[in-house]
Parts: sequence; structure tokens; C-alpha cells
Amino acid sequence: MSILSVKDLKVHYGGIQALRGVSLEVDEGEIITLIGANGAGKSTLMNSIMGIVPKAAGTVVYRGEDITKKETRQIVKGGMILAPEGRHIFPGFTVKDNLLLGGYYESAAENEKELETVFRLFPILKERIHQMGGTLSGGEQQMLAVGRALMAHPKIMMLDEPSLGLAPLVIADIFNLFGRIREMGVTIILVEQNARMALKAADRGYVIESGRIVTEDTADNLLHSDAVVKAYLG
Amino acid sequence: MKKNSVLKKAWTGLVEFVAMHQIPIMAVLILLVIAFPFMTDNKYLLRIATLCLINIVLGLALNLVQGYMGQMSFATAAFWGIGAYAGTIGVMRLGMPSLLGMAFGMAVAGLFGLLIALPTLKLKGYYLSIVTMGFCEIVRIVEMNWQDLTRGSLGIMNIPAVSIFGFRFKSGRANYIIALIILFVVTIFVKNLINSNFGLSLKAIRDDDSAAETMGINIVHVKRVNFVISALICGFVGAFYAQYVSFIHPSSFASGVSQEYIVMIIFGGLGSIPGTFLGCIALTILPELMRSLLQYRLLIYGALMVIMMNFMPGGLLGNLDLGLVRKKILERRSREAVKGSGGGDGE
Repeated sequence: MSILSVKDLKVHYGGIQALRGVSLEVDEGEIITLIGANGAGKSTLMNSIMGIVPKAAGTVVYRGEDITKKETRQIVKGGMILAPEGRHIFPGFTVKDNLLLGGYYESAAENEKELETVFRLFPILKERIHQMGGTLSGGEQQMLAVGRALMAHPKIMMLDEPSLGLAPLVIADIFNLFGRIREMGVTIILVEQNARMALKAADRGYVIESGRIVTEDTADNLLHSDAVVKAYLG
Repeated sequence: MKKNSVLKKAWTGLVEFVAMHQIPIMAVLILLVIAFPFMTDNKYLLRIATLCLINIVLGLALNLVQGYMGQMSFATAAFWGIGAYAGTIGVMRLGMPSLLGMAFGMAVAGLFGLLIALPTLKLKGYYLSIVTMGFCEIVRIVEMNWQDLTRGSLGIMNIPAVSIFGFRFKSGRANYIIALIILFVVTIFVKNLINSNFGLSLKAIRDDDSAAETMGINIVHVKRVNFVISALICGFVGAFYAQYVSFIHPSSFASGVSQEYIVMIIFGGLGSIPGTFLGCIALTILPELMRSLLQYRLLIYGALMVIMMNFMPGGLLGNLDLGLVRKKILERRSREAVKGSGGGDGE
């Protein structure tokens, strides 16, 4: 059953068309990835699904409910969350406060429980619990961003460029955890420029080019498709 | 350089000492503050002390907007003045009892706060500063010229003193105690507000509003509520101030006065409750000590600002979280204890 279905989504920035009618289907429990070059519209797609960027046309249906016109906070409450590009953790907040902000709409008791889950996933965050977010390394900050998103009890977690500016070993560490996050009942949408890593972690992939989906296939097929290899895997 | 590091060491030592002994230090301070009016009969001292308390309340209200929400507001004096005038008019014209007058002043200030907040807080950055700057001046001009309501430049005299359950508090000592109670309540309220989920979202908006939005925080709503709360506090203490000093005049609520509060909280530390206390007390007493050169006070304020911005841009106690310092010390100690016992086993 599809948990998220986007139909013919269009977004304009002033006169520029960032998305020219994007459609995609996400099934529950899947890890899907969106790959594409800089400026292809990957982040715009995520932001418009979340209601951060206004949509010009199209519909977004989440768990059978039309959320096209909903505000970001209603979408977050409904169980969809975005770990934004560039991490955007709060450098002046402690690790704990950063995490608590993710659980903004949850009760205190629920947050305590969820903190433990996040710490099991990322033990390093527990060691850093009273440290300021800004003093963490890049990898730890990315873990914090993922952990913060998890605090909201999401059904769908969207990750925008989690590998940005990280060392390959750290990226591998983070990507290896996606399987465990999926086991917690979270569907993952992964936006990446690092196409090889993303396709290895994902079940299915979409290739997006200047605001349009150009290819859609299983991750394995994409990894071996000539066009994709040529354009994104080099 | 070396001297600097010694100073720094002394400062961190002091901070750590205070962090570890918060409760006894607080107890001593609270006792001192309560005992103060019974130690002196000097009316002048009592008056300065009471003004300190009132200024701290206003500083806390301003810090909610400027320190925790991160938008500079010049409206402190406007809301304070609206509260003072509305409260006074409520008591003298509408025959309200003293406490109801304060509530009325608070409500009217809150209403004006809402009026400002509705259009302005959709925007971020300096728009609020510009609008509040204008608003403060408009309020002063209205106070000056709406003769029928405010008696204009004559000011309102003989405002009845605070009375609770028919008992009238005229002495400086009693008013000091009332101001202290107000300050106590406001401090507890602000502290809880800041440590609540609401406070967390407020600081999140200040630090990174796009991330806050991504986390599903309703930015505009949070900012509006916070601004109105700040206006309510200013209005209430304004009405109390009027009943305490028994004479109000538009010049007490000019936009220059707002700037003084901004200086106070920047001096003490934006986003810090102890900092607000320190800054407001220091900059209420300082001008009194320099009474002979009062007209140069702003000059000294300016110099102070420049020095602060250069050497301590966060203010004296800016972003200092004693609770956090304490947690870190305890963590460090427990680590050292583990290390120590590990070494013991080896022997």
C-alpha cells in the first residue's frame, strides 16, 4: 500500500519553474532515493511535500489523506519529517535540547523513551548529551539531525543530503543505520548527490533532472543502467 | 595576555563556584533582599531599590523578546507607559480598585502588543525594531496631546497608592515589598516559560528559523504569543509604577527610555535571567551615583556599549546556563572519580 503519493507536483520560484510536474509513489517500509544533479529540484521536492515551499499545482496524499494544502506543523504532527540539507542543527543548544526539539509535539514521558531509542542508535550522542550542538564533528551533527528527526516519531523520514561534507567512512556509518531505522517502522526517502551510496542503501530510486522525473526503477537496476552510470556514477 | 588568562581563570572559577552552590547563594541573596527594607529608613535608598526591582521586571519582559526571540524591540517604554496610563485612568476615572487597575493596565498593554504583533511578527529581523520605534513615539505623542484623557504635559498627579483589601500601602517599605513580590512572580514565570517547550521553540526560532519551521514549529504564532506576554508584563508593572510614584508624565515613557532598557539587558547578558538582574541593577544604580553629571549619562552608556560589544559581545552573563555548568562539573568529577578508582585497583 502506498503511504505517500505525489501527483504532478509543480513549484515555481518567481518566474523559474523548479518542479515541472513530479509524481512518485512510496510504499510503507521502503527506502527510496532521489538522485540528481545540483539544482535538479530534489530539495525543492522535499520542501514542497513538507509545506515549507508553496506548491503551484499537484496533489500530495499521505496515508490516504490529502495533505497538499496543510501547513508544515500539521504534516509533522501527522508523522512526516525532514532532516534538512546542511543538517541545520542548533549550534547553541545542547545535544539533548536539539533532540527534544524534534519531539516538540510529544509528551515528556514519550520523549524520555524516545531519547533512549536514539541513544541506542547513536551511542556517541549520549556521551555528548550536555555538549553544545555546534561543538560536535560533522558526522556527529548529521547523527544528531537524524536523531532529532526520529524524536518526532515519524512514519516517513526524509533525509536531504545526509552525506554532505562528510568523510566516506562516516557516511558509511550513517547509511548502515538506515536498515535499523526502517525496522523501527520508518519509511525513508533519501535525497542524495552521492548516487552510489544512496542506491546501495535503497530499494528503489528516482532520477530527477531539471524538475522532472526521468527514470524510475529498482535500485539494483539503476546501479547497472548505462544512463545512470554515465551521468551520476562516473 | 598572561594577565588576561588569569582573569579568565578567576572568572571561570567564580562561575563554577556559583554553579555548584546555587541554592545557598540564592538563599543568602533572597534573605538579603527581603531584609533590606528593614535595615534602612532612608527613603531615597528604598526608592532606588524599588526602581531596581521594577526595572528588572521590565528587563525580563524585554529579554523575552530581544534575548530569547532575538528581535530588538523599542516598545518597552510604550507598553510600560500604556500600562501606567491605562491603570491610572482605570483607577481615577472609572473607579476601579487598585489591583483591578493593574490588571486593566496589563490588559490594555497586552491588547496593543497584539495589535503590533499581528502584522509585524510575520517578518523577521529589524522590521519589529523599526515599527516599535515608531510605536513608542506615537504613544508618547498621544499621551502628550490627548489632553482630556491624559492631561498631556501636566501629567497625572495624586494617583492613589496601592491598596489591597482596603489597606493602603503608602510607605516606601511596603511598596518595596510589593515590587519584590511582583518581581518574584515574574521571575518564576519567565524561568518556567523559558525552560518549557515554548521557550525551547523560541530559542530555536532565534537561532535558525528555517530549521525550526522544518521541525514543525509555528513560528509566527510562537513569536506573537511571546510578544504579547512581554507587553502584558510591562503593562502590569507600569500600572504598579504609577500607583507607587503617584505621578506620571509622558516624558517618563519616551523612546529614549526604551533604549535604556535595551542597554541594561545587553550589558547584563541577552537571554540570561541572572544577567538581566545584574544589568538592570547596575545600570539603575550607576546613574544615581553619577547624579552630578546626569546629562552625560548617555555618553557613558554609549562608551559602555562599545566596550561591551568589543570585549563581551554576549554581555556579562550572556547565554550562561548555571544548571548546565553544574551538570558538566558533576560529569567531569564522576569521570575523575572513575579514573581515580581505576588507578587504585592497579596498586
